[in-house]
Amino acid sequence: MSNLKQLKVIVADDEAHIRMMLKMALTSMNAEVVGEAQNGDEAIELFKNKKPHILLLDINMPLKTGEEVLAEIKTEFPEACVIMMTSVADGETVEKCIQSGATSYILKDTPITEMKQMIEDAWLKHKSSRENTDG
Amino acid sequence: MAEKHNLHEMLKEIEAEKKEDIQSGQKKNKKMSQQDILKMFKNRKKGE
Repeated sequence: MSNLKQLKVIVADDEAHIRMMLKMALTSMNAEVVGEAQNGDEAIELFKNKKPHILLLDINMPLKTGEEVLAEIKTEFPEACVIMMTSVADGETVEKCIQSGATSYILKDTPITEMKQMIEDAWLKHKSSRENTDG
Repeated sequence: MAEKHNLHEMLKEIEAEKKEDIQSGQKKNKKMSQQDILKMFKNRKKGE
């Protein structure tokens, strides 16, 4: 359970302690955190440079919001696996993220064990949908 | 008199519209649970 072996992940959140917590969780799942962004612009730049398998993306960030980052990345990289990781839980925001192509949407107050399972589930779902698309 | 009646009707309609707008806004801004969010994702992906 909870194995993201050899997967490259970028964590984008303006709060250092959240990045640290996510990094620890991902490391315990055998994923490799290849970058940390503390604002929207950094998230986009890091994504383009590192081409990670997964981007964990906060919504309320300086310079560009997670919603803007998601839309920009999915336009340029439609196959990107972007998982929203946020405290914003209103229906309108969730709806917008679905429309922009987010793979999943995890609330920050989710217990860590469940959070890890959700990240893994989201990745497996993303992977299988890509395989089906590729034929 | 008829004018007064129309005005009253108009005000009633505006009030009703306002109420609808507030209700739909509340629905949109309602805080969702993690389970509801995952359900929304699942349903949306199925519908694609």
